Amino acid sequence: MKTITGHSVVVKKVAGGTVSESYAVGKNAQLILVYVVDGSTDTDISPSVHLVGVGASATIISLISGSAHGKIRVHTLQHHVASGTTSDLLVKSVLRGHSEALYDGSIRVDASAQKTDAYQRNENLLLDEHTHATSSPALEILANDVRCTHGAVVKTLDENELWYLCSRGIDRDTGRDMIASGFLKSALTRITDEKDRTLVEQKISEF
Amino acid sequence: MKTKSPISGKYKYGFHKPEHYVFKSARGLDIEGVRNISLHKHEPAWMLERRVMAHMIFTKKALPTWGADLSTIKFDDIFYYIKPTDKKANRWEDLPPEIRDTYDRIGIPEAEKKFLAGVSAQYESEVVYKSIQSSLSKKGVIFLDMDSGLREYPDLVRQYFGTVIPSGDNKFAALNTSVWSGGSFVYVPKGVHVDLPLQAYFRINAANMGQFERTLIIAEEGSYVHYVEGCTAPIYSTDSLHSAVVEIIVKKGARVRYTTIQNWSNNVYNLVTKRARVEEEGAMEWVDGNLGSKVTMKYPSVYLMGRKARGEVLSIAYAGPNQHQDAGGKAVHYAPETTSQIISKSISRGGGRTSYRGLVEVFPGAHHCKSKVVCDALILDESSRSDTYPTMKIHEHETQIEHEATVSKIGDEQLFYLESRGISKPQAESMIVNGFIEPIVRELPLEYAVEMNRLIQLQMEGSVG
Amino acid sequence: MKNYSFVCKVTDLPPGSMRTYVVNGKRIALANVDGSYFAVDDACTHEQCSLGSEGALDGNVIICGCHGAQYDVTTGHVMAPPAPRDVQSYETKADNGSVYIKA
Repeated sequence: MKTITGHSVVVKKVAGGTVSESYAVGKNAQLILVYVVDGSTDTDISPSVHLVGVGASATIISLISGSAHGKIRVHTLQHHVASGTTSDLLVKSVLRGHSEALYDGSIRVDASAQKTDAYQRNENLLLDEHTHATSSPALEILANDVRCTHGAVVKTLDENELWYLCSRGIDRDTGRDMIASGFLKSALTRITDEKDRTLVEQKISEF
Repeated sequence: MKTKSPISGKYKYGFHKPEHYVFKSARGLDIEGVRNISLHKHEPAWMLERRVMAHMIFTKKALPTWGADLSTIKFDDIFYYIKPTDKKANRWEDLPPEIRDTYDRIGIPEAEKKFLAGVSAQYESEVVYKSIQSSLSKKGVIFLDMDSGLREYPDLVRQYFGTVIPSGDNKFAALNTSVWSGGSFVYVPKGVHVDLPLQAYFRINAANMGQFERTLIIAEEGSYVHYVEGCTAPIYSTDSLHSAVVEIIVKKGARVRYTTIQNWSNNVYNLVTKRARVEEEGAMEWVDGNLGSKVTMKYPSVYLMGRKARGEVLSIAYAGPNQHQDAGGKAVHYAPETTSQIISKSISRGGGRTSYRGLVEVFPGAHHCKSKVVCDALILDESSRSDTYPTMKIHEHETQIEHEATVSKIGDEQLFYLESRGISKPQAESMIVNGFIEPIVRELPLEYAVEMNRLIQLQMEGSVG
Repeated sequence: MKNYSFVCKVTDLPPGSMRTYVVNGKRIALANVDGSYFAVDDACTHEQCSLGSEGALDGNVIICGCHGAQYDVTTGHVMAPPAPRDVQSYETKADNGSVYIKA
């Protein structure tokens, strides 16, 4: 378990294998955790974030590009223990080939965690015929003065968007790649602080 | 030890009183017990076989590892089949005062009160009942209790019984298949629209609200029917386990709506399997209100088998002290261009727990289908709990599947606004809660909607349980 | 007997019974229906439960033990949901006291 006491920005690239980590975020501390996943082979990611100090906050983002026969499992926990804590999770995947994304995760708010604000969202874009996605986001809320929302989407490419690009002279394949890339990158707008967002984009470009 | 009483009457519209046995089985359930049930009902051999096979499956299957806590159900301690036809009439005065009070304050009509309380053996509207049956049979609509349905239309029942929910589906479907008694049998011929909602308490001879009801509804092509069961008034039951099965077949272009309002007393485990099979361009609407019971596990489902079939689940769950409502819905898309919608509104108060549990599954080949699930939950105080456990399993890429859920408390601004208009806090809270569930309540038949609103008001003001 | 692989002895599988066997790395369910042998893929197309070891055989109908899905064992055709698809069916042959399948 890693303890976060100040302001921490962690960006990791994962390509195959298992990554399992836990963070405890302390009083007024802030954690930004970003995973960029190359899902061409089987990959398992399990981040757990425990918001143990009053006013703690965490933003967790996972950008997944599935391809070939990669099976990408993401398992998350946003655990609110102290009051006045915030968490914001967004897991986005673009699936090509025969890849498969499996997301399951929980927001758990203990009775002591009043005034929690928690968000959890999973979005999957299935580009090719043999791709699959399973999504099971869960909420377990024991405090009442809270706001907790979650959402999940599984969809394919919007033909209108693609048509628009084609009408601008962009070929279909390039158009699909552009839309997929835009879909993933827009996840970073969840990072509200501009400096932090720039830092993350920079680290990603270094991969 | 059984005594045979020679009361048997046959009403004009197929309204039988079954042979009158006073039969008290031993506690618990074995194959002999299952055989006896079938023998007492004089069922065809194929139904006996199904019951026996279902019993074997029941003994082998495990309890679900998810959902509410069922560990305290003592299967060996239950009487699985008892009721004599004329129930021992209760005295109105013997009913718990809270229940009598609630009936009064919700505004249940006098005659209905007595019937619901088990005070009168028959709902005193036989004249109404007869005229309804007459108009139905003119259209070729069959509406009987399930025992009579099996007796009078055995081939029709055999064609569909167990085809939507096989006994192997889960432990409680197996239990119900082995010991079922009562429930409704509804058949609507091709193109017929039944304008008047069919109410369960119109079929008054079989044990109403029995423990193991089995309902089968068949809607032929292009037909329409709305079936309503249950009521908002709390129903006092000494039976601790209620496990019903409802199977609905919606053929091409037909539409069925099934409305349930359940308010069992707080000692009841209410474990129900309900599912509809929807053919091409058919539509199924489940409206499900869960207000009572100690534990409810119920997930009305739709299997969308034909192109452009549509399924909808509207669910309200209210959990007060010591209650756990584990409810939701399932939509399984087998065919292309099918659509589904699940809307769930839940409220937990005074230590109650509501859990939304749902599944949206899309199999390969079910392209261009759409599904939307929206769950909203209100937690009213610190001791209550709310959970949301949705699952989406999508094996077809050309789809649009969405799910959203929110858990929160009543907004301070909303409360402040109402209180500043001189409305007391409990009244304001109940107005807000009624507004919260309004999108689903407005789908209920009017008298249910009115009763529901009043009941919520009473619960919120703490006047009732 | 080209392309046919041995599964079991005729005496291993009496009429009315069904069992899971692994043949050439494939899991199949082999059923004896009144003396005729039929073979299908062992995994139910719903949630991959084993038809041969967890299911039941009623005449020529396989009933999956997990959720009650049904298949015609003679063809592999799905007869009742929740299974979404047929299971693959394989040709069988009984010869000299043994059962073989083409897989």
